Amino acid sequence: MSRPSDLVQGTLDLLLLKILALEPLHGVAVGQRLKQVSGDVLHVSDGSLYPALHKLEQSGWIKAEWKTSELGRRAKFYSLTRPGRKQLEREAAEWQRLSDAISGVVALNEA
Amino acid sequence: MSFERWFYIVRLRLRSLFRRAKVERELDEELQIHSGLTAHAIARSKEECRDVRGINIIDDFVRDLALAIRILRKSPVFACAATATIALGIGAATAMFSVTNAVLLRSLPYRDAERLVLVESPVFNTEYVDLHSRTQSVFADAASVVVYRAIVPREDGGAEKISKGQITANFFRMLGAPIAFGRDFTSADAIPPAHPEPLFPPPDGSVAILSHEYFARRYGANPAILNHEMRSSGQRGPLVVGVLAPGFQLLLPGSPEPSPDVWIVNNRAYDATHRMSDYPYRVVALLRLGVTLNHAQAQADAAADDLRKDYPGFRIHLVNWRKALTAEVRPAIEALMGAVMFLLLIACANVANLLLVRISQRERELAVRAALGAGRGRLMRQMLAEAILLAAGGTAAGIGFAHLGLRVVIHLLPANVPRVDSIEIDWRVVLFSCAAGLMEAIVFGAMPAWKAARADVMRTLRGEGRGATLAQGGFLRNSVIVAEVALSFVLLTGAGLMFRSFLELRRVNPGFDPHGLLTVLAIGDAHGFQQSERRLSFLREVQGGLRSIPGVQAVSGAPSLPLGGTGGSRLGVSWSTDLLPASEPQRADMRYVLPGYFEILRTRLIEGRTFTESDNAPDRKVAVIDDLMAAKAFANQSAIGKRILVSPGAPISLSVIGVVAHQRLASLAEPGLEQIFVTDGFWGIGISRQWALRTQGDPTKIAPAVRAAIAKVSGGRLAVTELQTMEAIVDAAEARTRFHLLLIGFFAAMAALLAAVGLYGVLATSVRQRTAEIGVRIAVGAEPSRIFRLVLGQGVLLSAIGIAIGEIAALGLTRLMTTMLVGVKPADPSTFAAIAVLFAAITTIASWIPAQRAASIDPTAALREG
Repeated sequence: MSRPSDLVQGTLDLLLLKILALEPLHGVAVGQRLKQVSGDVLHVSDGSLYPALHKLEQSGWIKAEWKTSELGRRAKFYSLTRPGRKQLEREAAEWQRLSDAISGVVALNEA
Repeated sequence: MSFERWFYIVRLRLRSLFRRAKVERELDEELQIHSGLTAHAIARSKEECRDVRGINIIDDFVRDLALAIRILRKSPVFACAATATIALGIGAATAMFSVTNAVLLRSLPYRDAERLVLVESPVFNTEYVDLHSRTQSVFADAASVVVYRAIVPREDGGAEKISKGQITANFFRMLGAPIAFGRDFTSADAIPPAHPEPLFPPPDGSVAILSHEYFARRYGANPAILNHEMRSSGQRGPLVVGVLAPGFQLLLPGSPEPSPDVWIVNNRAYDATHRMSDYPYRVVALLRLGVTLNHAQAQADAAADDLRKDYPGFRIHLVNWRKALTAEVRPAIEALMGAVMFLLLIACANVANLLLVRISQRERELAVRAALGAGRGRLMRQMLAEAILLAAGGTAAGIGFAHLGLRVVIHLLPANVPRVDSIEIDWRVVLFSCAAGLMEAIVFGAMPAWKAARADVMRTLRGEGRGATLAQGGFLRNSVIVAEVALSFVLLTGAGLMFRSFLELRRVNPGFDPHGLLTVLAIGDAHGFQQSERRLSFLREVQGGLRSIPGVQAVSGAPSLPLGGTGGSRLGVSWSTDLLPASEPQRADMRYVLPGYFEILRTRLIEGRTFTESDNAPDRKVAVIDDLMAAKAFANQSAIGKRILVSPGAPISLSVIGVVAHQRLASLAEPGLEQIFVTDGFWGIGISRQWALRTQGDPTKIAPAVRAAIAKVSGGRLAVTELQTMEAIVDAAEARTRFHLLLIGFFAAMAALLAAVGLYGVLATSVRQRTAEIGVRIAVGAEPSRIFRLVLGQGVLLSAIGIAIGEIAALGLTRLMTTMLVGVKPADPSTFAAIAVLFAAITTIASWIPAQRAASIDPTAALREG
C-alpha cells in the first residue's frame, strides 16, 4: 500500500486539485474520495491532508466555503478557483510527461 | 502570477492577520471532525496549517523583538554604544538632508514652479520687447523684475532703507502670488521705467503693492492705507492699491533683497535711443505646457541670432529657475551630503563590528539554542530583530540630534545659500531618516545574522569554538574594519583639503588692507542728481562730513568697496587695445571710484599715479588698471599713457594713468577678472555709495558719529545701512569656506574616531579570544615584546590596507569638491600624504592599547582560565 510519503514529491497537490475539480468537498471527504477513486491504493493521512489543503488555499489555487455537510454538520468545503483549474491542467500535463517517460524507461527490453 | 490569484491570496492573508480569532476557531472546528486524532496530532496539524498562512512571521517577529529587548537590556553598555553610534550617523545625515531638501529639492513656492525659467543675464528694455515678440511660441507668458533699494524719508530728518521691486503687471499673476488685500496690478497701472525713479516723490500715476511684512511694520496691518498715498515726512509717495499675502519671497539668484517691501509696476516699451541708460531687468518666463527647456532654448537662440545684428554679443541662456537659484551652492551641498553618507556608512560598519564581536561572545548561547532545535532561520531572525531594534532607537535619537544640530548648521550657513528659512525637519526628512535607519539595520544586521546561521554547533559545544572560529569570524570583522578605515580616510582627506583651502584663503593677499577701516553703505535716490556738478558736490559734502568726525584720518568711497556694496555696481565690459584688437574680445570688471580710494584701501600703486580731485570730472577719460590687465594688455612695456578701448555700450577710449595691485573685489576665493577703474566724476551715477573711513583705534567706536554725520549732511536723502568694519566684510567672505571646513571637519573627526574605536574593538576582541593561545606562547618563551609587535602589526596591517584603498577612492572622489576648494588641487599630493601619516598615527594609537594588554598577559592566569 502506498503512503503519501512514497508519493512522488508534489503529486499530492495534483491529486487534491484533481479530486476537487470533480466536485467541492470538505477535508474528510477529500481523503475518502482519494482512497475511493484510487482503488484503495492512495491514502493520505490527516496530518498531511490539512496542511496541504491550507497551502493550496493560501496559494490561491482553491477556495474554501463553510457549508452544511451531507450529515447536517457545518464543514469547510473546498473548491477550485479559476487559476487553480489552470494550475491543475499544467500539473496534469507535467505528470503525464513524467509518467510517460518513466513508463518508457521501465518498459525497455533488457538485452 | 494572475491577478485573480493574487486577489484570493491577499484576501486570505489579510483575513489571517486581522480576523485571527475567527480563523483559529474555524481551524478548530474543521479538525474536530476527526475525533480519532490524538491531541498531539491535532496540535501538529494546526501548527502546520498556521505556518502555511505565512502570518506566523509577524507573530514570530513580535516575539523576536521582545527577546531582543530582553537581551539588549542585559548589556546596556553595548546597547548604548551601538545606539549612540547610529544616532550620530543618522543625526548628521538627517541634518544635512534637511538642508538638501529645503535648498535643492523642494519646488519653488510659485505656481507651475518647474515650468518657470530665467534668462540668465539681465536684459535691457529694447531687447526684451524684441525677444518677447519672437518667443511667444514657447512661452505661455514672460515677465520681468528688478530689485533696488530705495529710501523713505523720516520725520526726524533721517531716512529708512527699504527695497523696491519693479515688475511688469503680469508678474504676480504668472507666479500665482496671492493678493491679501486690494487688487493686483493691471496693465493700465504700468508706467514707463524712468531712470532714476524715486519712490518719494514718485512719477505721476505711480501705484504700489506692499509686501505683507512691510504693511504690518509700517502701517500696523491696517487696511485703511489701501487707495491712499504712502505719505512720509510731508512727501508724496505712490498710491497703495494692494497688499501681498504674507511670506511671498522673490527668490532671484544673487539678489541681495529676497523680499521687496514695495512693488512698483513698469511697462516695457521699445525705446532704442535709451538703451544704455535703461535698467537691465531679470526676465522670468513660463514655458508652455509640454515645451522642454531645450526646445525653448533653441527658439531663444534663433531669436538672439536675429537680434545680434542690432545688439552685438547678445545671447540668451535659459535656465530652470530652481536650478539657477541653487546652481552656486549645489556642488558644495551635494559634496557635503556625500560626506555625511560616508559617515553614515562608517557608523553602520562600526555597529556591524560591535554586533560581530557580540556574536563571537555569544557563540555558546547560539550553539545551545541551535542544539535545542532553533532553526537557522530563527537564529538569523533573532539577530535581525536586535539590529532593527538598535536601528530604530538610533534613528529616533538621531532625528532628535538633528533637530538640535540643525540650528547650529543654519547659523553657520554662508549667506549665498537660498531659502534658509525653509530648512526644517519635515515628513520627507523623517522618511529619509527612517529609510537610512532601515538600510543600516539591514547592512549591519545581515552580517551577524549570516554568521549566526553558520555557527558550528558541535565544535562550539565541544569547546573548540574559541580557536577554531577565530580565523573565519576574524576575516569578516577585519574586512569591515578595512572598509571603515578606507571610508574614514576619504572623509579625512576631504577635511584635509578643506583645511588647506582655509589656510590658502587666509593667506590670500586681497590687494587691500582691511584693518582699521569702518565702512558704511549710504543709499539714496538719484532723483535730482542727474547733473554731474550737483551730484559731485553732494558726494564731496558727504565725504567732508565724514572726514570731519574726530578720529577719522581719511574717507573715500565707491558704489561698492571690495567684497561688499550694492551688488549691481559691477559692470563687465569688453575691452581692446591696439595690441589686442577687438577680434579677440577681452572681458574686464569696470568700476568707478572716488579719489583717495586706492590710498584708503592701501592698495599698492605699481606704476604711474592714482586719481586726483581734478580727475574726478565728467570730461576726464583717465583710467587706473590692475597689474593683471597691464600684463595682458601691455606685456613687457609700461602701461602709462597707453589707450584702452572699453565697450560697456558705445566704445570709449581711456588713457591709462596708473597701474595698481589686483584686488579681490567679488570673492576672496577667486581672483576674478582684470580690473579697470575710472572716476566717479567721469562714469558715476546716483548718490548711493559705500564709504570707507580710516580711523585711529577701534573703528566701531565712531559708528554713531557716522550715522549722525550722514543724517546731518544729507538732510534725509541718504539712509545708512551695512555699517560694519572692513574686517567683518572679509570675515563674511570667508564664511563659505569656513562652513565647509567646519562641517566636513566634524564629519571627518567623527569618522576617524569611529574607525579608531572600531579598530580598537576588533583587536581587543581578538586578544581576549586568544588569551589562552598567547598565554601558551609566553609560557613557552615568547618575549612580551614579540607579542606586542604581533598584535600591533595586525592593527597596522589592517589600517594600511584600508588607507591604501582609501587613497584610491579619495583620488576619484575629491574631484567632486573642486568648487569648494581654494588654491589647492583635489588630488593635492601633500594633503594625501599628510592625511595618510595622520591616519596611520591614529590607528597605531588605537592598536597600542590592545597590544600592550596582550603583551602583559600572565601566562599562568591565562592558562588556568583557558
